Amino acid sequence: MITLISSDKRKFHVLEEVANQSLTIRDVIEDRRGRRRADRIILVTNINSKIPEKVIVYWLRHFLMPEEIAHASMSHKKAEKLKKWEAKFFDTDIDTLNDLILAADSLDIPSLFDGACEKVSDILKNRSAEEVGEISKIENEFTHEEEEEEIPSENAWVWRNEFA
Amino acid sequence: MEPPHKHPRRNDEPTMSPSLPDLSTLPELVLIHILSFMDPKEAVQTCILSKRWRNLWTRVTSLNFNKHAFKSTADFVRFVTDVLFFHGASKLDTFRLSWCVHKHAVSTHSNKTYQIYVSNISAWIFSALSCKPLTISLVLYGFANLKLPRVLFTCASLEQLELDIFDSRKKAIEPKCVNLPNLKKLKFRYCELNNLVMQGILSGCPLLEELSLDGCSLKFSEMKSDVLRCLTILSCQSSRMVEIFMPSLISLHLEDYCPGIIKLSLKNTPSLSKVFVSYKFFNENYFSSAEFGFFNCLTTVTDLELYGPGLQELLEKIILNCPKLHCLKQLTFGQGAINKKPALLCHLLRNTPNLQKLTISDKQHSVPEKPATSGEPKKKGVTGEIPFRCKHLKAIEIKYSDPSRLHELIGILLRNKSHGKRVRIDLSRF
Repeated sequence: MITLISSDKRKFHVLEEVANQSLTIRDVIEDRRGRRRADRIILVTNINSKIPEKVIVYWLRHFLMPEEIAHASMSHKKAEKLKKWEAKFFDTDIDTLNDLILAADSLDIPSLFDGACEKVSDILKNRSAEEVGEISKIENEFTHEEEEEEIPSENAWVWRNEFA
Repeated sequence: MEPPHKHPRRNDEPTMSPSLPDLSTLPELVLIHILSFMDPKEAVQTCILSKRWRNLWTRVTSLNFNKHAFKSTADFVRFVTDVLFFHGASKLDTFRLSWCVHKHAVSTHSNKTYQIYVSNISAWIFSALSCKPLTISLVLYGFANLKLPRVLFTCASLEQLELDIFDSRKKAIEPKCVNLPNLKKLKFRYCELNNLVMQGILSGCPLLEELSLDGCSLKFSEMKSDVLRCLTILSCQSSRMVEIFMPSLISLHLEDYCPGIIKLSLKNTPSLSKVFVSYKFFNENYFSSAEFGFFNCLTTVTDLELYGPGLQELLEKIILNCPKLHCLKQLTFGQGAINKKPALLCHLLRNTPNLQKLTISDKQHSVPEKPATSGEPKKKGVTGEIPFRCKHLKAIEIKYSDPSRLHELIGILLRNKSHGKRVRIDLSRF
C-alpha cells in the first residue's frame, strides 16, 4: 500500500500494483525499495484532491482488465465497455481535463494522457477562432493590422478549401 | 491504513507543475499532442489563434487525411501537398490517407488526371516515410494504375501497417522485396495476395505479431511464420487449401467463416489457445472432410468461442467424430448457434472433460438464414439428450433474448450434468 498526498493535504491510499500504472510512481517505488515504510508516501504537490481521486478511479478501472487491453482482438465486448466508460469519465469541464493532462504527463500514464488530449481536441473541433480563444483562454496578441491583413493573406491556403 | 508521515521528504517526489486553469499554459508538446488528434484541416486552422499557436500545427505527430472532408479533388490534393510540405521532416507517428474514387467518376475524368493523382499519392507516401512513421494506414479505392512505392515495404521504423486497397486490376501490392524489421501489426483489406507476396511478407517481418486479413482473396497455399501470435481472417475467400504453420500462434479469430469458400488447415499450431469462429452460413455442397481436420487441431485450445447460424448444421455433421478437447476451459456459444437443437450441446460437452465455464448467448442473429438450411434437419442419431461429464464445470452463464427457449435449455443442462456437482448459473437478458 502506498500513500499519495495532494496539495490540500488529503491522503489517498492505493495498492502498489494499481499505482504502478504511473511509470513515475513505479520508478519512485523501485528506487525506495527496501527502505522505511514512511517512504511509501508520495507527494503529488500542487494538485488538488479532485485530480488524484479521478486518476485513482481511472487506475482501478484499468487495473481490473489489463489483459483484455493487450489482447484486443479476443474480447471486443469488454473493450467496447471500457470505451463507453472512458467516454463518461472524460466528459467533464476543460479545467479538469487540463489538470488531468498535467497529472498524466508528470505521472507518466500514457493511456490517460492520450484519452484526455483526445477529449480536449474534440472540444476544440468545429469552433471559430473566437470560441476556441474563449474556451481555452488563449490570448489573442495579434495586432489589429496583423489580424485584418497579414494573417489572412499569409495563410490563404489554409482557408481556400473552406467548404460548406 | 498507514499513518501519514509527519514530514514527508520533498526531494525526489514526482514534481507537478502548478495546475492552472487554462489551456494556454500547457506545455508545447502537450498542445501538439492535442492537435494530433484533430483533423489536419482543423489543426492547420489553429494558426490564427495566437502567435504561440502560429507554427504549432507543423509539428503534429499524426496526420489523417480524408477526401470525404473536401468538396473538390483538386482542393484535397493541394491541401495534402501543402500540409506535407510545411510539416517537412518533423516527427510523424501516424500517417493515414483515405481516398475513394467511384467508378463513374473515373470515366468522366480523363485518364491523364488520374495518372497525376496516382503519382501524387506516391509522392505523399514518400514524404511521410521520410519522417520515420510508426503507423501507416492507406485506404485507396478505384485507382487503376496505383502501385505502392517499394520503399513502403522496406521502412525500418514502421510498427503498424494497414492497407485497404481496392482496384479492379489488383496489382497495387506486389512488393519485390519486403524488409520491415519492426513491424508488429499488419492488416490487409480487399487485397489479393498471392503466394509470392505472402511468403515475402511473412519472412520479411521478423517481429510480426498480429496479422489481419479482411475481405481478401487468398491465392496462396501456405502461411509459415515462427513469430506470429494473433491471426484474424474476416470474410476472405480462397481457391486452394491454405495450410497454416505457426508454432507461436496463440489466438485465431475467424469471422464470417464459410467452410468451403475458404479452406484452412492448421498444420502446426502447438501454442494455439484462444479460438473465435463465427460461421456465416453452412452449405452442405461445400462441406468437405477438411472441417473434421479443423476441429481435430483444436486440442490445445483453452478458450473457444463459436458463433453464427451456420454452426448448428456443421456441428450436426461433425459431432459424432468430434475429438476430445482436453484443454478446453471456457466455451462460448452464441447467436443462433444452438437455437433449434439445444440437445446438440450435450453431445459437444461430452468431448470437453475439463470445461470450467460455459457461456451461451442466445441472441437472434441479424444475418437472415438461408431457407435451404433453416428447415428442421431430419438426420437422426444426434438429436437425443445424452449425459455429459464435466467434472470441473463451475459456472454457466446464459444471456437470452427469448425467455421461452430458456426453460428448455436449462432443463437439458440440469438433467444431464454430472450428479452431485454444484454449478452456478447466471442469467442475464439482452
